[in-house]
Amino acid sequence: MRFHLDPFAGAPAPSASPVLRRTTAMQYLGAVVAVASSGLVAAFLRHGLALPNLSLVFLFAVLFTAVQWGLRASILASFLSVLVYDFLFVPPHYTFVISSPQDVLSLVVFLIVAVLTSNLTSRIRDQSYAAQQREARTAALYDLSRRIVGELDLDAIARSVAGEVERNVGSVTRLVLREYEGLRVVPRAGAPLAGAPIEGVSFDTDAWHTVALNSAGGDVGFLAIRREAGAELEGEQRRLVEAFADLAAIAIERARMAEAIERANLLSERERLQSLLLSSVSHDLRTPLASIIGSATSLLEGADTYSRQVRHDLVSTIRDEGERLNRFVGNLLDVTRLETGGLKLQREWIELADLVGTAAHAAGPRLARHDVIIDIDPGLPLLNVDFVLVEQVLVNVLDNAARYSAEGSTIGLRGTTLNGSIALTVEDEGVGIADSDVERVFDKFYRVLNADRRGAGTGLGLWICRAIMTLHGGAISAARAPGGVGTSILLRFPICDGGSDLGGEQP
Amino acid sequence: MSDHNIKVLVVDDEPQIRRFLRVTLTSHGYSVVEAEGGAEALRLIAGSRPELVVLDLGLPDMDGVEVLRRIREWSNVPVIILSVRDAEREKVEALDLGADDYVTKPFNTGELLARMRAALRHQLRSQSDDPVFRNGSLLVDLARRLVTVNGIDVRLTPTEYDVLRVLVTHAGRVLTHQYLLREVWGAAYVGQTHYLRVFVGTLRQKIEPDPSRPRIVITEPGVGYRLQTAD
Repeated sequence: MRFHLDPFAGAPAPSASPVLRRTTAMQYLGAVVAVASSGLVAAFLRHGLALPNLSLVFLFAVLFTAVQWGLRASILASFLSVLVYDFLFVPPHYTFVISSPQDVLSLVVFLIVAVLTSNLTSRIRDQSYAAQQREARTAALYDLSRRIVGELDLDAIARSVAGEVERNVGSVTRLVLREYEGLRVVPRAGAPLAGAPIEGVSFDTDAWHTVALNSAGGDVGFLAIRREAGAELEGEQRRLVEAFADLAAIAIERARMAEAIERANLLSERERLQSLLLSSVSHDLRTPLASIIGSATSLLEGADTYSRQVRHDLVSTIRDEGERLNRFVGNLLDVTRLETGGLKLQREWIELADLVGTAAHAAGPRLARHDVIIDIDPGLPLLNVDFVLVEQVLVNVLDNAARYSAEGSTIGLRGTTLNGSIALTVEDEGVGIADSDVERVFDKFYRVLNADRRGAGTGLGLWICRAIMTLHGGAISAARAPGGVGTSILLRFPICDGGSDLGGEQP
Repeated sequence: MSDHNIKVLVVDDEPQIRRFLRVTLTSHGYSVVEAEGGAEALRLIAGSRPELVVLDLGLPDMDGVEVLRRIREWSNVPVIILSVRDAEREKVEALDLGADDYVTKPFNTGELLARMRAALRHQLRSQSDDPVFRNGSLLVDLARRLVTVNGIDVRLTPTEYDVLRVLVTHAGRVLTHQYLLREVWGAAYVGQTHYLRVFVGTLRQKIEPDPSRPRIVITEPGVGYRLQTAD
């Protein structure tokens, strides 16, 4: 397999961690320097100290080397110390010849002690080093898990994991996700093609280490880590990378599950609305059609036998039901346009009084059996609205008021300013509205949900009203009318600048 | 005014609409010629010389507005537009191009007949016509610059009177905001619809029996105003 990853897509790889890489040449050089320094110190002290005590200075060098540079360097330091000690301080000076058998013995003892010390000390050093590494690994894991635990964006998870591996291993790393369409390499944030899937991914295992991301649900992808000069991932490093991989696999699986749940919820909500729409459409289309077809066929078949009054009633039914159909189709069109954002406001300056008068006129036949009282404060600022749409809002509201209140009752319209907006209240004396429903009446198909097929509403009217008011930066709300009887609908419009300049002339 | 034998061209691609218009208009004493599309309509206007055209804007072969534009290149025949709801911009465009009025589908016949009468009246009117407008309690005598409600003089500002005068000379027909603004304030004020709103508002206060529910100066949302005639 070939796998093309551009290592230059993004920042250069970070430098290797200082804890993990150290050349042996440096360690041996350290040992030499330590022994040489001890030689200098011992030469300085040779007149004040007995010969055997000078060996302690060298023992210190061995100990120091063991702590700093490990076992091999300290063994070297031990032998070097013996040679230097012998050459400089054991008589005869400046030769490796040893004249006294006692000195031979003490040199042998020194060597044994030095090697043992090296051994013990370096073992302690290794243990403490391992402990440090474990701690660093735990901290890195903790840090990574903290960053990806709440993350639901797959790419963000992938970037966090790849970044963490890079920091700890020192090689360019990418996370490759196994997706429905195939493999996708998640690029670095800010890389030229960030987010774009790399198609037809294949990879070259000579150039990249791969570490699989296995979760309970299967293989979700892998980590690709660039090989640095043929080095292998080993020991502590491999364990760390594998721990990162496990963490990443869990996080990726969780993010995918959350996404799937979200999708499923959306889908079921859409299905619910669709079935509501279907039932609403079939009911609201069929009912008036049934009346129209019924009345028309009655007229065709029995025209001669019906009285003038009956014929008039049948014809009126056809007209009224036709108008109802027309309103329903208009509502459906409005919903579609509002939902698809295809509605462009044609704003113009209008007086609230004009709006109310025009809407009352348009709703005229349906308001004929009610007492409509209009009270608009004089001198209100002009509204800057789409007249046609806002008129429709008010006609809808007036329709509802008429439909849900008794004939002969009063419908009051009151226009005022209210907290920096222009407010219009429409109050009826009808059946009213439960406090728990004051928000739900603005839901789509609320009437259908309510299983209340009384009246001729479509369950869309108030939803449309709210959508239109919101488009205008205004608001619509419902409440129980003050006094407890009937419903009160409040429309609020923002006050816009520029509608009061009349070029100097006052009417 | 007699409607007898006035020849009307109905342009609509829907046979049901043409049939219902033919039946209705014929029974009201008009004679009806029909066209299915724009090209046929243009041919018939040249050939049979109708005295009024009812033109649907949604034609299959040609944009209705384009048909109107071509008619107006050489003919002043009154044109009533059939349009749909939410097409106010289209209505205004057609009115600016010289359409006399519009009705919105679905419409009731009474409305259409009233529009047709107003358009024909305007077409036939000459200088000798009675310059007096009456609707209910309102009387406007343009020759004497006199406005009365229930016989009592109404004092209008010069601008209010100008607005009313333009409306009266086109009684029964819709007038676009632009048209009214140009006629009353001048071409530089086209677009200042809020002027119109305010002066129409105060005019209503003085001439409408119930200013909160206007019956004489009717607002046509998104389009303009119409002075309601008594018929």
